[in-house]
Amino acid sequence: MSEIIDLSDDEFDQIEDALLSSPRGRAFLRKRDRRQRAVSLDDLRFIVREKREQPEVDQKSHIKILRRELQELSSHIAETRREIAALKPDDPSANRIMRATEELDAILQSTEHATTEILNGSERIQSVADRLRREHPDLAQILDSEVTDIMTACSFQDITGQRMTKVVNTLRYIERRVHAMIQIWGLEGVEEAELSAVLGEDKDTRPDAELMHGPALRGAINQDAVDMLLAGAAAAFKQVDDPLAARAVTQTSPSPQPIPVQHQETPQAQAAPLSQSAVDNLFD
Amino acid sequence: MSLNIQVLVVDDYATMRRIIRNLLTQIGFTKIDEAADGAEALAKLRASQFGLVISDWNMEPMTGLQLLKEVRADVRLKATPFIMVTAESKTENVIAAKEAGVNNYIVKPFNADTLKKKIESVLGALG
Repeated sequence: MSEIIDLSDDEFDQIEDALLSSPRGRAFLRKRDRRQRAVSLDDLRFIVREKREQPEVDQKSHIKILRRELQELSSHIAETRREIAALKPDDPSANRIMRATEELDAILQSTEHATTEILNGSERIQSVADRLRREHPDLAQILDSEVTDIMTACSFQDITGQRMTKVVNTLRYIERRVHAMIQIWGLEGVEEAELSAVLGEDKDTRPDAELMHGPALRGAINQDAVDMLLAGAAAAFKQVDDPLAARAVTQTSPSPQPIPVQHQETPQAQAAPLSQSAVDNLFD
Repeated sequence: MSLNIQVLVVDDYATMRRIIRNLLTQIGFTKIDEAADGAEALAKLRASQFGLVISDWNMEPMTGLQLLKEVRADVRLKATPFIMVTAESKTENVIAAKEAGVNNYIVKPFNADTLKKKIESVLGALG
């Protein structure tokens, strides 16, 4: 392997002078200069391009940006923790998701009860129509037709029930996910003060806020019980555990029925529903 | 087709069974039985002779579609006319029911006239 040596300025000048003294030497130097210029220009273009694509970042400002981003991220994480904790406070009665689920359950029961009452009424009208049939067949026919319309209109309860069941199932799913998140984040013992900032934002401050929660749910007392209380019969109720709630349930709603579990639909299955005529076309 | 056949109404909502039963009575059917889900319906179908099944889709533990498939897979029951009455009106639902051998498909909400027409299209003119 040949040794690499360095030239002094004098040595370089001597060699250059020697080359300049002959035509071939001068030709060599001209060609060498041209080659060097070409390489330098290529190098220059490459550097300019690189500079354009990757502008040099000031190291200090880079760190500053990174630090600010991390601070914002940390702040978002803290806020998310508070939001999640606010969704499921320690007191189950204040759980908003559970409360919403109970409200929907109550709607289901109320509509089912109302539908049953309507159907009972329809059947009573039908029996009247049957009694009229011999002497007034035309009137009986009209009553039959009206009763049929009432009955078919009552099928809304089944449809709304199914839709609401899906909403209830979705809420329950969200509740499970929130609970899982709380466990993952270790939020079981979040301080009340920490939550109050979040809860305070959503709190209904209207004077009649408590009245806006709709009809009483299970466990609340009904009008009869209120009347009895006002009439001074409260003492009688103290003899048993929560008798008002028990009366309220038995008097205001039919026997509670479990909500049937519906199919879990994949996002792909969320296609637009068809009308009856579109369905008929599939059978033609 | 005679109105004397026995009809099985399958729906998990008692109210809906009551509505369909009433409509069938007004059409003229006199032998109507009910089941609250596919499994109960299948047991009744195997125990007795039914000329028509009118079934909902969404039921537990056995759905209307599963019931339909069981009926079509049963040598003795496979010819039983089967009408699906459901709020599940997405194309894939209707196609799945058709592929499983449903005779007709009624979308909720429906009226008495639609029910009668669909029954007639499956059983022939009623009388």
